[in-house]
Amino acid sequence: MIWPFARPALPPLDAASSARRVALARQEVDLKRPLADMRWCVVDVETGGLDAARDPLLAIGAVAIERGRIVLDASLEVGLTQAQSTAAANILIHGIGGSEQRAGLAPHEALLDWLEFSRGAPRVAFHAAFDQTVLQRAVRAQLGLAIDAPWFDAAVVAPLLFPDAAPHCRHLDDWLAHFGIAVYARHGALADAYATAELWLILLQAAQRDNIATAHQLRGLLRARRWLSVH
Amino acid sequence: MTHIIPLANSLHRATIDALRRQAPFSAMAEDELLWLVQRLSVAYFARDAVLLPPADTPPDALFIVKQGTVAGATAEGHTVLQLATGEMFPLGALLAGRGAANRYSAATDAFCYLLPAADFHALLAKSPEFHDFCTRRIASLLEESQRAVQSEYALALDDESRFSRPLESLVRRTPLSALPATPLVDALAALVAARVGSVVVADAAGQPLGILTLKDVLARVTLAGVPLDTPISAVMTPDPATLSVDAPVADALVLMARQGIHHIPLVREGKLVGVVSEKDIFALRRLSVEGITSAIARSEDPARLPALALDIGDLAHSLLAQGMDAENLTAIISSLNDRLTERIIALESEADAALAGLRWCWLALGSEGRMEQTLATDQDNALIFTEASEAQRDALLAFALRVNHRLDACGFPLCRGGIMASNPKWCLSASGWQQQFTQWIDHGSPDSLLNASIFFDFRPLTGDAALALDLRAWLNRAAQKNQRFLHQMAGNALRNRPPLGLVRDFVLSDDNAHPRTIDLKLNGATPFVDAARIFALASGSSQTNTAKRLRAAAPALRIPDAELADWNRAFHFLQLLRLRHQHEQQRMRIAPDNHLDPDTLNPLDRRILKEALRQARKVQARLALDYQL
Repeated sequence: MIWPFARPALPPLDAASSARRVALARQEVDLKRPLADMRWCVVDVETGGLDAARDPLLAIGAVAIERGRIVLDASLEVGLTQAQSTAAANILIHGIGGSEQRAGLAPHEALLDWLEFSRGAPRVAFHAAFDQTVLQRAVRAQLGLAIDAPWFDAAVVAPLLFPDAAPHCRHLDDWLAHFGIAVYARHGALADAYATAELWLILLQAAQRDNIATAHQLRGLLRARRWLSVH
Repeated sequence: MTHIIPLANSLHRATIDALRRQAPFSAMAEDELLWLVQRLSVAYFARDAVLLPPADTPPDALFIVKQGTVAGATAEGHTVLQLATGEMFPLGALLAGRGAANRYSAATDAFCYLLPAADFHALLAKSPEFHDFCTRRIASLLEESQRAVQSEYALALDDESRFSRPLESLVRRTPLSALPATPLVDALAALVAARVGSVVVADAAGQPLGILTLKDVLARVTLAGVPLDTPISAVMTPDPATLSVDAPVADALVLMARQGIHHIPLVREGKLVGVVSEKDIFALRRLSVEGITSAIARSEDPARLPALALDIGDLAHSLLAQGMDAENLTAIISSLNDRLTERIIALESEADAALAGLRWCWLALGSEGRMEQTLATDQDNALIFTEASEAQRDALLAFALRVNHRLDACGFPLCRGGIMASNPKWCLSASGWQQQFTQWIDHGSPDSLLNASIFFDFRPLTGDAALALDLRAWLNRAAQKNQRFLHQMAGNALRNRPPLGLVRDFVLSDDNAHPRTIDLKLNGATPFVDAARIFALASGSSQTNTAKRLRAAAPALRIPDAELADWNRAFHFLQLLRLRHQHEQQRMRIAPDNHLDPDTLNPLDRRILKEALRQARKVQARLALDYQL
């Protein structure tokens, strides 16, 4: 669906980008296929701060899981060019220097790449709300699109499937350490997305072990759990 | 030079770096690695999950272990492989385009890279380093086939099996023990005399009450200035940790490590039956040809030789597991058995005054004569002497009988056919042997031919070797003169056909005792052995070893080098299969034999076995041609 926002004005798109944008406007995600056959898109973003509503999107890293395997060829690693460098504080976390921030793709192209990469797949991230908010905001601002794709939060699914480990595991690092997953470059968007994808493979196995056959069922279970914890 | 490849994102680069820590990826070019990485996917396998079952169809992907351990097990469930980070499987199946023989499952939670089979083959064509690494392993299987397939893994398992056998197997002597009231002076004197490291204090019923080791003596006796008439019970370590003799060796190792002790009394039904020391256990790992040879040479007590015979078996197992080829391995087994037999003969003959002044020679016959002993071998031996009185001959027979029994105690069972030096029929003077041989050569009956096949492989083992060498020279002349005899030998050899079937791969035995098996000795190795013997007799060669006989006869018979090499490879592959089969049986505590069920072989080995039997037929065809049979 294309939202007719009046403000802020969308950046002008060239013909090719416009065509891509139109093609991406609609996407369907089928959550009722068997878990083992699903295509998943595991993503991590880097931002100029920890405020999902305001801080700029710096980089997107994503890998695809197809039929239970992480496909190395299909991995996305894009930096978004910034009008100006962000605060030094975040550079310490992400290690992206000022010059690197200005390298990369124009934001609208990076986001088109992202939408094409993730097309038709449920998104997975650790603490997914943050990545979801940042990406949706950027996509709306740059492309004027609101994509309604399902998101799964590994940080919520992991404790559900491994309740025994949950008390000791809060952060992504805790879960990675618990399962002995190494990260080749922590806080790099693609490296974190890849590590999250390995975690997701383990969670998919565990879900099937627990007779959860589809993403749809998994989502139902998560909703029930959320409902239980809220009420 | 490292050049940055623009297409490689950080994940690709990190994967390349990770792969590069292992062969063959460490030697591969950057662009080949990137090509590889872009075709990989990553899968996760929870512990015990099956990655690849045995199959009839070729696998659709190559697995490279990324993290964790993958185990490969045979159809019977024996784990034969442990694959760790960077290792690939199933290479053989992918290369040969056949189904995987082993079941691969995750020994721990594991991540693996998968490369589609088509890409695997493309990479073989693309990267010489990758190609070399993958095919050289298999080439050794397909062509020379002399290496144990799963050498390093088998070695690890072999160590495991050594540590899982009962402690009883380490008990080499009656333990040194003392009653609690024994004065220290007596106990320590006994310790020195027995050259051991500890004395166990036990009550009259043999129940261990304490232990005193040499180390304890220093602190508790010498430095403490305890008078030597003190009863040993005053300084012993009371209530020592003990183990049942039935407990596995590993238990002793654990107990020693846990309690920081070096000696453990072993008990059966509460009574002391032995002591195991840390040294005994670690000696298990230090088996070597030199070590065993010198231990045999040093041994003054024939009662200790059976333990050394066990060491020979252990060494053979370990060399087999390390992938030693059959030709060298059977030669090593035979020569260590020679040393052992020589030592027994020396100990038995030196002490025997009745043998003084006699010229005699101990003859090794059969497989021992050919230096082709496997792990299952009974005695085949004889004696030759110059001249002896009736009394001297009796003394020789009595001496031979003692040697035969000592050999029996060392695990070489008495020959069921009575082909032993203690049998008066096979303890003959030089002229007696010539008469006997002449009779066999002239007679040509089935019995004569059978005897000829055993006795004509004789070799001097110890004593006056000239007697045996003269007999060999005489025999070669006699056999060469008698074409009819060689013709009969050839005809007899050809009656034993290699069991290759037209319909199925193999003709299996219908023998009830060993259903559905191939006799690797009779139907596999014997055709080569028989043919080689005839070739040697015909050409006047004095070699007794099959491979050497074939090599020596080849020029005269104009056997092309390539054919000769194939024959010897085939023969040694059959010998290797026998050794592996017997090794496996001994590990399972079954008496070793030569009856192999070909279905237990992996498809590659089956193919090689078929090829080896085809070579046996070729040798026979050559024999048939030479003797117009």
